[in-house]
Amino acid sequence: MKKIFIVFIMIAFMLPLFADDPNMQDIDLSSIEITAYKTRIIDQISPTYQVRLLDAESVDFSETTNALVNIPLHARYDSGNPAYEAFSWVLSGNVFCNVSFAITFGAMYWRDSGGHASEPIIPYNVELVHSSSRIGNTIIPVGRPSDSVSYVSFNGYEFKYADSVDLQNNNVIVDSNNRTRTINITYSLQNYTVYTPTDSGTPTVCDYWNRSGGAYFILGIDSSGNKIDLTTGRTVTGGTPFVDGAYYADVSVVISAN
Amino acid sequence: MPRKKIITIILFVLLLACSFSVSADDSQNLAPINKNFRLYHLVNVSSDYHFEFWKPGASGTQLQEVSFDSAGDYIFATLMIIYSSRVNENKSLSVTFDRLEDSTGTLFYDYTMSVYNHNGDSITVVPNQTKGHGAGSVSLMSRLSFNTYSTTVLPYRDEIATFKISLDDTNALAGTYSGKVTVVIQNNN
Repeated sequence: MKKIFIVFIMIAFMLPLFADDPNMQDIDLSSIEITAYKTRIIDQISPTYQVRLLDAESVDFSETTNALVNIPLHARYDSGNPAYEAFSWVLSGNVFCNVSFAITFGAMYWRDSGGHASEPIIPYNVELVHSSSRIGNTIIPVGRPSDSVSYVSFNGYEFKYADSVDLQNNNVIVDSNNRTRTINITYSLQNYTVYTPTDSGTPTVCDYWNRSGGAYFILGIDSSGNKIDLTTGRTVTGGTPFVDGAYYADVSVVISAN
Repeated sequence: MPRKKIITIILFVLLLACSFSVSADDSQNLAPINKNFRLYHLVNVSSDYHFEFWKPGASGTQLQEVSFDSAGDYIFATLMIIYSSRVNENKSLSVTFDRLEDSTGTLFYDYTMSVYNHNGDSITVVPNQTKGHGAGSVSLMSRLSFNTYSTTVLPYRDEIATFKISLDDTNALAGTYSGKVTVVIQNNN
């Protein structure tokens, strides 16, 4: 009798494993699989959220291997030049969640023909600016619950939304003294239930949020090739002159959601 | 409690636990996303460039002028950009078309210009504009950006657009008509 029970217990353990074995294939020639997307999420990344990185021409380079983003001549320091928006981001998803977004900027090194990085380094100032939070096509306000907008009815409840954007120290200088700088952004989606048979709290589905912003650059080199102190705006005398050629800065982006 | 009942309860609890552990794997995937790329800036690298009209299909054959003996459609030129190492300027590129007129500037040969844009395969048809008789202009690029950078292989070249002219002699008197196609580069600043 005991043996039979042990066998039962083992079967009980094994059943769910069989049921979810991805290698087990059902063959049904008469069936057809239909997939419908309202807003398709790219399969390669998390199904709950994604990020798109766009260059100055609004071309998506998120999936480009070894992508290069140009910082053109008019991004050089000049009293008349506004900061240059080299790239922007759009974070998006279908599930109610908060998002942490960190961009790490490396020093802009000169590279020789072999691709080796060395000095001199072009200093640069980069500022991250949040531009909008949306659900669908509706811009939702940032900050105050009293400004939140009614957006979606879901299972009999109507929700109001606002977004919280924590963007501190969003303006940094990357140079010889600070060769790596990270800027953090934390987005916290907030909802406020306005129609409440019973207060339901946070909705699971939030279709379709996105947060966008841009990165603005000023290079510490003027149109004549002189080095500029970005804190004072003055020409730096002495030091190693800029060598002709291409200068590169590594940028790393990490996004997590919860 | 009878042994059978106890065992049944244990089995039920075990099955429930297994099903929970499996369904937990179906929860939201919130793995972090990582992206990497590079910024770049060029210092004192030549940005010389110029444009040439080439005969379509005949690589490297420049066109200084082209003539047509009768009405009809002619794909007559490809606009090329020749650049030494890079072009990345905040400039726009457009092409203007003069009227085809006689030596007195009072008689015209009507035409329609079509531009086949190689930057996206779009086709732009330029209608008769303010000057009439086919004259007009078309914007080909909002921003010049040929980013290839090398110190060893020069020069580079790229096709920008191909031009087709459709000549309509309905209202033209016998005679010689001439006009120019001009590339115009403008600063966006």
